[in-house]
Amino acid sequence: MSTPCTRDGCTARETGTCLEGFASPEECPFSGQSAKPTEAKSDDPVALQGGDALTLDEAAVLCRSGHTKVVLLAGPKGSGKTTIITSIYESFQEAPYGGYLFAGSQTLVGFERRCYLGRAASGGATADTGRTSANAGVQFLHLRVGRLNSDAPATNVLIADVSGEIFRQVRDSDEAQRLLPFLERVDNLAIVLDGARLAKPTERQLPRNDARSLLRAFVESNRVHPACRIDVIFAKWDRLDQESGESKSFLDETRATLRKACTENELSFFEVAARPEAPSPPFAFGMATLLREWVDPPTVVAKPVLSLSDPNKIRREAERYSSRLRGSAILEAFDVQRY
Amino acid sequence: MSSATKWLLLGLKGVGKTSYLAALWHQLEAGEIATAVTADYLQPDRTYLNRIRDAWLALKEVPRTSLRAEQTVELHLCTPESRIEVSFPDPSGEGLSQLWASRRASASFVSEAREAKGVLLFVHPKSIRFAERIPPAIGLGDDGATDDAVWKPESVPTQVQLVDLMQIVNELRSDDARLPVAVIVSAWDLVKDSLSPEDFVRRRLPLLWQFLSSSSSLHLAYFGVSATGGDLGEDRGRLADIRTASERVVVQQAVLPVARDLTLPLRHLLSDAGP
Repeated sequence: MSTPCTRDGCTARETGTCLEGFASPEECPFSGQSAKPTEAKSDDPVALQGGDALTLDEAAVLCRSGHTKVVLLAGPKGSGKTTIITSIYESFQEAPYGGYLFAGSQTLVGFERRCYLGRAASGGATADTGRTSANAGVQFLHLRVGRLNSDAPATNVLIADVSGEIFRQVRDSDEAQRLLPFLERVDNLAIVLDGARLAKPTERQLPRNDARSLLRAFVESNRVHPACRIDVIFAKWDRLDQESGESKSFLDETRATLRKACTENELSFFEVAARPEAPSPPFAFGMATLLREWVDPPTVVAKPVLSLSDPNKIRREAERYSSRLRGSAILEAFDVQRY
Repeated sequence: MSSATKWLLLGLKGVGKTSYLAALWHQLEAGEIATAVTADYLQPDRTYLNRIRDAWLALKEVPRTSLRAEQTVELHLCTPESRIEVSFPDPSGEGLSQLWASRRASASFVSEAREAKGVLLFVHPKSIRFAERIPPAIGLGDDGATDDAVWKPESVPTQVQLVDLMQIVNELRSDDARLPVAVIVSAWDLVKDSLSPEDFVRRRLPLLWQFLSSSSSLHLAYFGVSATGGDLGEDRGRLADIRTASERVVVQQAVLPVARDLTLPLRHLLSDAGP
């Protein structure tokens, strides 16, 4: 039984003459299907690098290849983590971004899959981003960026795309930290708060508390490197009432709460709207600043030397050091040059 | 043939690779106009090139390269500095699109990429798929979208596919020397803005332009080429009136005056790639 050929201009169904010269529809690889690997040549096809998100092992290999920054976006499901990542990629599709040139990516297929629901090609009426599956484990998206008007070598940016479900577990249990075996290697730990929920008085306590609990869980795990920068991201910033004094006060209190939860690492706040719901602010609002934070963070003034009069701090530092020694096998696999 | 320098012709479906070859072969073989590169003697098998050249001469659409008909072109080229034998496949653009979608390449492509000493990368002004985002939908909030839509590889923007093809070639190459790449914007007669070919790529394919510009392993040059010289329907009369067929073509590089020499991209591939 013949099936329609999907090739442009092929009239095999009407005339019996195949555009490619196949004697019968059954021989034609395009019959009834979209593009699939051709076997018209006699030589066997060779598998290429997949282009999808990288596994932990693949990310470790890339880290060894050159200057690499590792970013972990942490937050509940629906908070906007994946959209934050894809908005940077989408911005590069229009022009150099944030002072950088796009210099390549090993995960173009991974990016395109994640962008699809935000594109007209999906047939959707409103833009969306697919949910990151908890079953997928830890995956990394890769961007290689070079500084505009500079001969300096490009920088790899590995951004972990992790399901919100995993962060719920991390928030609730120390045991769940094993789900993030690369934590010691993270250069930027970005805690994402959902601005859409912060905007609602009946819901706003939850994202604040989630962020605080998550941050505390990470910090007290002794697995976050002292040089790791903590980026607190107020996502979906366009949903927040910018004029309301009450809203501003709540956000100020939220910032203060989170600063208290993390005193040992450099902590900064960012307001972003990766995919605003209205034409203003523009697409990827605030993302250029975030990208610069990840690739070229500002120089940090050295923190004061540990005080010998504070035994609790001494104990925590000792635990952190021994924890890093235990994690050294992971570090060895994952790290050549940290900076 | 195994000693010939290998070049690659890259570009998706319908971007003018074969039309370029047809017109190029005519200029090389007929010697009607002065060209930067000449063919000092004929290669043994000229069947394919003559076939596509005949269609070009007759102002007919040059037959599109099908998957089953992929040919390898050999040329014996001569410049003031050297003589060189080159070979390059005339690939099916459909095949290259499939390669991207399936992440599988024929062993012959892998072999050609490994040995490639130059690339002609084609883009066509009318064959660019853009990443069209769904505009903001005021008032719909988080409702309205579903996860049901399945990603289609063929929906991927043109510039993403081209970047990845270049990345694949770079990855496969066994040579560390800088790779000369001639980026050819075909159907240049359709580009009415006063842009240089590089500016065209920078504006219409910005991701590709960024990738090429930031790569220290590539030695780039941009060309605008019209191998047919115009539309075969609307401009047929004007094109037929041109008595020297080689003078139909248009070649532009940077902001230099328009030339007719289709070998200028080859000259770039043969030039010293520099440090």
